[in-house]
Amino acid sequence: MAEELKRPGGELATRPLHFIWVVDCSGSMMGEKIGTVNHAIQSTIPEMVSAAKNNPNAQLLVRTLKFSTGATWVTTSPVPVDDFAWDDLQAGGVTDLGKAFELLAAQLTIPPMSDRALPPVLVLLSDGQPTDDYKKPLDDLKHLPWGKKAVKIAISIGQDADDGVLKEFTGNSELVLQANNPQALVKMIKWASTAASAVSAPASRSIEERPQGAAFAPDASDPSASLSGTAGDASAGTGIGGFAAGTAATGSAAAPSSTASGANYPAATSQGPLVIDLDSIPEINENDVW
Amino acid sequence: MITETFGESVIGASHVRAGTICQDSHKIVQRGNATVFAVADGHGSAAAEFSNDGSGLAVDVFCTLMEGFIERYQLDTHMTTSPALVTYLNREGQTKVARTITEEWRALVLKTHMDLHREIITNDNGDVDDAAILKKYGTTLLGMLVANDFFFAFQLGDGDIMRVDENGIEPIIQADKLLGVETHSMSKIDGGTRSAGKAYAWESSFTKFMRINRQEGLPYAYFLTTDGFANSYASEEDFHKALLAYYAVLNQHGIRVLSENLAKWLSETSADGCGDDVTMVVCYNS
Repeated sequence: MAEELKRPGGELATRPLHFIWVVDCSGSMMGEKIGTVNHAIQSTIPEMVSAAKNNPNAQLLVRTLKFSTGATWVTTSPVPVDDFAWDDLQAGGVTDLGKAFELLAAQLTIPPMSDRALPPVLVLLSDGQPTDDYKKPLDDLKHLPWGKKAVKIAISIGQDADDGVLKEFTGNSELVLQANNPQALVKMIKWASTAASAVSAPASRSIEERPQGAAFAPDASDPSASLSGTAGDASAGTGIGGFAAGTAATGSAAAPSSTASGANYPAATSQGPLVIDLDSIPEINENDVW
Repeated sequence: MITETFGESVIGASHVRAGTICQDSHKIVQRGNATVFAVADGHGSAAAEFSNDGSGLAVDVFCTLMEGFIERYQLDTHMTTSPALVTYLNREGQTKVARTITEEWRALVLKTHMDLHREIITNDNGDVDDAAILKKYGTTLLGMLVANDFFFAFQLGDGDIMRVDENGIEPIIQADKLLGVETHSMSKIDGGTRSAGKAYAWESSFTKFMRINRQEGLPYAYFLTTDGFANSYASEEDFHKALLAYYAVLNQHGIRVLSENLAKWLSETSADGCGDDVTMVVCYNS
């Protein structure tokens, strides 16, 4: 009869997945814009919790960085999504985006970041033009190992936002999501949080699958390329590395799916992993613009 | 000294949830005084849809090539290795041997792809696109040939080759560690030289040749693990502690008890750790 022994080797650990909201709180965000941001992010937390539960092998850690005149971490350390609470942000001041990039870079350095983490997700929301020198801090951020590998999404709020700057941040114009009215902003925040907050299955990919210097940009030659897909996660859309919500029982390919609210979210997949499906970015109504 | 080798590959917890198969492979060949063992981790990404086959072919290729050395230089029966082989592995291990491993894998993958009548991918000129086919089989490969008086180790991609004894733990090969879920791959396109902007797969590999003195009589073990094992621990230090604990089990209970429990332990490791497939091969010298 086989001799049964307890597993040697001490405590096991899931892989951390850092999700960071980077929110413009400058004076131009005052009023409905910051109010919508507060409401939308608050309301999306349960969906992030649900998405995280579908992959118990990663730990989703959330925090918020705000910038206006200077930049500050609202949550000083990463918080497990189950414990994350949104503190309403107030708007006022200028747009020191460069300061925000400096703080981000400090946190994406190893340490404090673990070299065993999954690629972090950075979601930047802004409605204006930087008032400080953002270029060097952004360059520093993007040259960090985790800065290169981070999944970077920007939400461009209103018509005065500098999409060029946001594109510099994401490295990909398709990941600059347009939100020209409150409804669109809510949709985009929900999409970004849902698409990017679900944790990925830890399948590997060859370094060859991602062109150097184009971290997570869509690979036109490989529409199903994903950061960490499994054998069955081919996407109908243009895949970028990353994560998608996982709530369904079947492992279907990620594809747009309509919801009651009219927003399209990435199709849920129990395969864990995941592709951010650009085709699933919500349609927005261009009327009623800010 | 007695050499005993055992290994297991288990499907990852996340792959169980997804209904996919295990993409890890391992193989062990014992021939008299010589042992060959290898592990491979198929990428499992959407672009590498046949990576379970790729990993299986990789361990086959490594073991077959090393068996060639065993036969030619009678490593299974000889206690002392031919100086010619020592010189060859020392001088050519990182170049000719590494290159042969990757090129044999490449040839075997392409043959397998054709034999199985899988989709032939062509480029814009209508020619068969070997690189695109190879990409579908992407995998890592780690392997060792352990003879009476030397070992030769090979690593391409992530994973760990470690030596453990009563004095502690040390890596046999200190390979590149890539962040996130990326790895170097056997499927890297053979398109030219690194200086020309392209690289051969073997150029991303690491090898090591080392003499062994078994006369010291102290037990030790080699551990080959795919990255699912190390990634299930919070730090490199915890990973090392885990292998030291496995080694303690070997010393206390022997390899039979380890072999009876290893699959269960590795499944638990994946479930409570990173969720990836996990493979471990242990070569215990006691």
